[in-house]
Amino acid sequence: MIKQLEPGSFRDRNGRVFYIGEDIWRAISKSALRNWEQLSDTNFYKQFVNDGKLVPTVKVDYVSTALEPEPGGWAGYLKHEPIPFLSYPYEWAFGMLKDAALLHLDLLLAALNERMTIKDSSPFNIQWVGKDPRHIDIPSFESLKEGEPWTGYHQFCKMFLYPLMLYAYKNIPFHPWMRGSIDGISSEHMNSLFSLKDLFRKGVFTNVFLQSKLERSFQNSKENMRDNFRENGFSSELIRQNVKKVKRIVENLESGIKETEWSHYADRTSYTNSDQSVKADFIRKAMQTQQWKLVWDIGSNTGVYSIIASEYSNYVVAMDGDHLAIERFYQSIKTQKRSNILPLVVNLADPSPSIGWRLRERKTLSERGKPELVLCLALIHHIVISANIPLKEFVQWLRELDCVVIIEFVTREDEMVQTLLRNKEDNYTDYDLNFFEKTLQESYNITKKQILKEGKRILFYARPKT
Amino acid sequence: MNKLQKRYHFILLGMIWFLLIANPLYAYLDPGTGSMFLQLLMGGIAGLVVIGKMYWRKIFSFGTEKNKTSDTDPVNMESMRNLNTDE
Repeated sequence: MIKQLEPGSFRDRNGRVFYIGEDIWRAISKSALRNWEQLSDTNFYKQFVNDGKLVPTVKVDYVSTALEPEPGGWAGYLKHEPIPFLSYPYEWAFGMLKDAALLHLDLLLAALNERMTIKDSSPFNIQWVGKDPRHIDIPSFESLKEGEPWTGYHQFCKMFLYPLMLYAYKNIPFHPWMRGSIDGISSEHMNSLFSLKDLFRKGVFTNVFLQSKLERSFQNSKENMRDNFRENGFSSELIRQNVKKVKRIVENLESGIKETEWSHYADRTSYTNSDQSVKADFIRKAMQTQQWKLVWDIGSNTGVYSIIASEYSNYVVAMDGDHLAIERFYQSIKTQKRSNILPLVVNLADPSPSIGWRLRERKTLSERGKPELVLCLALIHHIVISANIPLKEFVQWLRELDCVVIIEFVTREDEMVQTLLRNKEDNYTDYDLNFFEKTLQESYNITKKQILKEGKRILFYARPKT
Repeated sequence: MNKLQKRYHFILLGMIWFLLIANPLYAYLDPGTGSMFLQLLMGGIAGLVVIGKMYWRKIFSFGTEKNKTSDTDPVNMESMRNLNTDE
């Protein structure tokens, strides 16, 4: 069995995640083991695991040859239930980051009630199972020490509150910032974004303005603030009240962005109703031959076809570069029972790279799980014409995913393509149906074909050539 | 707003004014002390009580062991310990 260290798990010296085959193990220190024993005894642990909000975990004995121990050795081992497909906050819709923040605060409040706390506040400790957020970092739950402040508050602001405020108060999507800055937005920069009138908005004066000023004032301080607090009676009740205050602020944050280029695509689309059902039928017939383990729906927009695909798959990852389309999709599946679709904000022409220490802390898409089928519907004209990527290269990239593809070619006669070409220099000689079909056939066997919209759009079902 | 709340806000504003002396920011030196202090300000009357106690002791204790630091030590090792709490 292959044993492999998780390259992103190193910051906390109290534990180390590694893999044996598909299983997720965590080696933990003596103090982490003590915290685990306390955690697994609490009522809130059992309740949150039952509700799917905290990763199911068991303590296990390590049987095969030991992992290279750090000085001192490991005191114990835990095993965690795997997450179907990893994702990161710079890929989440606004609503997803907000719900992840609320989950974190609810866990913290529940922990405080049973003499525990969460030592940090990172959205990287939360993953998704379909539409449901799940906290996965068990060692971040620690025994609450008397007089200790909310140690994760600063990080909560930088990585949850400020990105949410950026979106809600300034109508700026947080994704580029969160992708570029692994530790989030600093209070100094956040404060620079706000004008005087913004100071009256909920939570800004205290959590942004004051925090940035106090950070400056105290940066030369020689005090040990934590000891100071402890001696002078800082109580857990204070933390509880502050957490509740911050929770109310988060609850009130609403996406201020009402419309983007593609968020109403599904409404404005130029298909007829009969075309839509022909397309849906084609996809159903093509997919019903087997149960697909993992499906990617790239350019999913509001997810209409992801939902169809999810009936024949274990898990579907829906990706679109438009953050509001993904937000609308997320809100629409939140109320449904199904939990096997994960909506993500991904620009296919510039997908999430591997970043962090040694460029291995956060993984690029294909490292998180190769799909068995890719839906590429009404996307190729955006890739070639809007993003200027050569058609052949896009097909090559698809082929590298090494899986079945259902791809839709949108011809030049289609209104959408004409819109994209308007006011542009038309050098796209490769954007041609015959050339596309020829290119596809070089590396795929086309087993099914369907013409829509009087020949303006054509669907292909293609299996990769070995 | 009752009288007590009014007093709280007044004290709060006074403290904020006192604290708003800008210094260039050296983030690596102090990852969270300011934020911890902010929790006391956010904490209402209870928080003010703790602040009061902290500074009362400071004024009336003439250099206790805990607050002594070496003059030759450019970076306070105690505040370096706080660096590990953030991640």
